[in-house]
Order: sequence, then structure tokens, then C-alpha cells
Amino acid sequence: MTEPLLEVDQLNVGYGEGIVISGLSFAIEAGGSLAVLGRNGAGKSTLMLALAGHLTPRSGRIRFRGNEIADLAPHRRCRLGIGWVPQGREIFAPLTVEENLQIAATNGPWTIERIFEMFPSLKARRTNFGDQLSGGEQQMLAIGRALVTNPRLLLLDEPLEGLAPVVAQDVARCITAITETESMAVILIEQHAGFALRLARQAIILERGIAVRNGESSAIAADRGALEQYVGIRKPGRAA
Amino acid sequence: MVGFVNVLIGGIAYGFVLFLMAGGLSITLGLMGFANMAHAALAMVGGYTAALLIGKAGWPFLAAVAAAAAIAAAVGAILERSLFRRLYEASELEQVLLTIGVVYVSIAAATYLVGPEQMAIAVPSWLDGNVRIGAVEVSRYRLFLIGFGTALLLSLLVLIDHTNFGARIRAAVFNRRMTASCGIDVARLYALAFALGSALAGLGGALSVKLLGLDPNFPIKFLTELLIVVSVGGLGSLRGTFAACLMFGVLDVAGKYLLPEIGAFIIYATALSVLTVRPQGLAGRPQ
Repeated sequence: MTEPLLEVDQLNVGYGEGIVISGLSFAIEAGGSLAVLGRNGAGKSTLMLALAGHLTPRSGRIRFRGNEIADLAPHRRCRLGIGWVPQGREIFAPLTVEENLQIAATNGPWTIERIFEMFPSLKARRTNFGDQLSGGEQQMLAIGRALVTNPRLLLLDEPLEGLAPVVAQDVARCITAITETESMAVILIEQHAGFALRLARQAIILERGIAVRNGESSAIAADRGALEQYVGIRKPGRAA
Repeated sequence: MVGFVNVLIGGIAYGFVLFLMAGGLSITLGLMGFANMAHAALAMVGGYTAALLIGKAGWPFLAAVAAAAAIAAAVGAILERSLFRRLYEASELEQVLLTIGVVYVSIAAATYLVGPEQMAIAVPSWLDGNVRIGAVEVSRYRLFLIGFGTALLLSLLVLIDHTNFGARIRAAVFNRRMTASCGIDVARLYALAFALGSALAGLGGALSVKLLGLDPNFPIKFLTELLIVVSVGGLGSLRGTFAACLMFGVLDVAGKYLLPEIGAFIIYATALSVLTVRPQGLAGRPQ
């Protein structure tokens, strides 16, 4: 059996005195996909920050492509192949669309031209500045900016948050296309549990930093009790 | 009329001298947001490097100016790596206290190493004397400063607005965390940008000696002017800094010529008025 792409083992992460994630373990194969579900404050974004390198774990191991990366600086994790699409997109407002992609671009299959082919509206706005984009365009740009680093693992933190339903469908279709056609692994945090469970093969439900469910997405999708108890059922039309 | 033209050219040349020194400060203070009082000390390092290389070692003028930029870049990089980088996230007061401390250390060091007397710089014959343009005599050195400053302005605008290096700096200043997650080593990028700002300080210092003179109090004498042009220009805007340099150059020279009793106060009164009406400076974005 080959080593997994990413292996998280007994991870503990916290701010100040409090522990936000405790005893979390999971693994993803190359090209695999994982949905992380849970309520606000369950520790989902904290997990992403710890994987991207912006929070140092209290204890536990993170192995990525055979390297121990728990203490590795964020830019080195990116160069090893972890692409991060943060919650809220964090587009560089003083940079044009093209510059947002250029500063991150590396040699590999994902080129700036390919991003423009996938998201034609970004190409039309290539000379616009980051703060002159709609929410959907910002999200496309955040995804494109992570893709041009040519990652082996893509971290998507609430990519559909705050998007109008039609735009959210567009972005969701692109994410599905990216994960299906590429040998890239994905970890997805999403309030839209249905979309996340359809997209990802595996799923974890976090509750106060502890994985209360961890298994195949199909099994978790069938576990209505757990979804209601730990994720909550989103009422249509309510913002996340 | 000829007097007016001479005052105007003198003011513009003084503005370019200010810009040669302030251009680098508009990178470290304006763009990177580091309250860098030590910039004036790095300009003095450049001034002494050029003056000593020309006066004592007989170096050609342009080679000495290039060496001044290189030495100031090295000193700036050492200061950044050893001291300043620890305070990027600290308050402005802490940054000012540390860097003003460096200014006083530099004054004491210059007095000890070179001595307290004024230093002059000899320029080569092709920069000496005047040329006649129409009815007015203009000093060759002032024309050289204006040409050099224009070339510097254009190069910096291209560097910051149209290169990957410039885009990375703008990104890192806007969101350091996200920049790191794009695979960019922000600490190294900041060290490079700081070295560049320091090189420009050294360059400006070396070129300004002929007009401004040089003694160990140089950093204190010109620190205020440098801070004024960068803040009146608008933090982070090279164009604004340039406009403010020209404005203050002309106002200062014209003021001292036309109203000698109060001339020195004109630039302070102007700075106060501009910042009262536009706290973000001429070209700065509103906060």
C-alpha cells in the first residue's frame, strides 16, 4: 500500500488557552476528496489554517508527500503542493486580476491562460483591480490563484459562501469539474452539506473540534440524524 | 524675469534632490508601512561613502555614487535582518523609537569616524560650471540631478506598477498571510525591498552632498523634510511623493529668496495646511 498524500495524526490546535481541534486524525490519497462539515465554530477553518501553515499545532503530526510539515512555513507548504482558497477569498485589492494570478503562478499544467479559459469573465476583467470584481468573480479568482500554484492538495474554505444561487451553481460546477478531471486532492469546507457530500468521497463531521463522524460520504449523507444534530439543516434562502 | 526663472530652476533642482532621497523612503515607509527614520542615516552613509571615495581614494564620480548605493543597501539590509524585521508588526511608536535610535548612533559614529567638519564633494568637469539656455545660466549639476531624478522616477514607477516584484510587494503589504500562501517568501521579499529603499537612500545622499553639504548632523537636518514630502505626497504613492518634492523644493527656495525672514517656515505651514485638508496626502487613498 502506498503512503497517503496527506496524513493528519492526533492533531491538537488552539488559540491562547483554548483547544479548538483535539485529537483529529484522517488521511487522503492522491486525487482523493474530503468534505469537512460542522457548525460555525466547530473548528473547520482552524483545521484549514493549520494545514496551510498559519497556525502551529500544539501537538500531533501532519505528513504531506512524505514530509513532516507541522512546523513548515506557509510559503514552503505552498511550494510542496498545498493550495489554499481561504474563507472570504482574500483577493489582493491593489493588484489586477492578472497580477493576482501572476504572483502565484508556477510551471505546471495549470497556467494563467487555462484559468482564463475556465473562467472567461476573469479574462474579460484581467486589467481590473481586485476590489472591482463581483463576489462570484472574486471566488473564481481565489480558486484560479490557488490552481496556478499547481497544487497536489486544494483547500477550499466555504467557496460558495455569500454567492447568489445562480453564481453558486456556476462555481460549484467548476469545482466539480476540477476535482473530477485532475489528479488533485481536495478538502472542502461547506455549509451546503448536500454539495459537499456529493463532491467528496470521504467526509468528516466536526463538533467542538472533535471528529464525531469520519467515513464514506455516502454513509454520512444517509445518516440524517447526525447531519441534523451536528450540521443543522439549512433553510433555503438563508445566508450561511 | 531671469531671477524668477533662476528661483524656479533652483527650486525644481532642490525638489529633485529631495526626491532622490525620498524615493527610497516612499518604498520603506510609504509602501511597506515601516516608520523608517533611519532612512536619513542611510542617506548619510551614501554621502560619506561617495565623498571619501572621491576625496581620499580618487574614485571617478559615477563609480563612487554607485558604490554609495551599494554600501547603503548593505548597511540597510543588515539593519533590517538584525533589528527592523522584528518590528514590522509592532506599533509605529516602537518603530520610530528604534529607528530614531539608529539615527543618533549614526551621528555619533560619523563624528567619531570622520569628524564633525563639513565635507565637500568634487564633481567631474563635465558636471561643473553652467550652461546657457536662452537668457539664463543653469548649473550643469542641477540639470544632471533633474535628468537623473526623472529617470529614477520612471524606473521606480515601472518597477512597482509593472513587474512581478512590484506586484508581490503590493500583495504582501496588503495581505502578508495570503501572499505567503501563494508560495512567496515574504521575509526575503521584504529584505530585498528594504535593501532597495536603502540603496536609493545612499544614492540620494551621495548626489545631494554638492547642494546640501555633509556633516554628521545630516540625518537630523533632512529627516523632517523627507517625512514631510512622503506624508504630504500620500503614503504608498510614488507619484504623490514626487509631486510633493517638487512643490516643497520650489516653495522652499522661493520662500527663502522672496521672504527671507519667514522663508524657512513656508514649507511647514504648507505641510500643515495640506494635511489638514487632505490627511491622506495629495495622492493617498482615504483611510
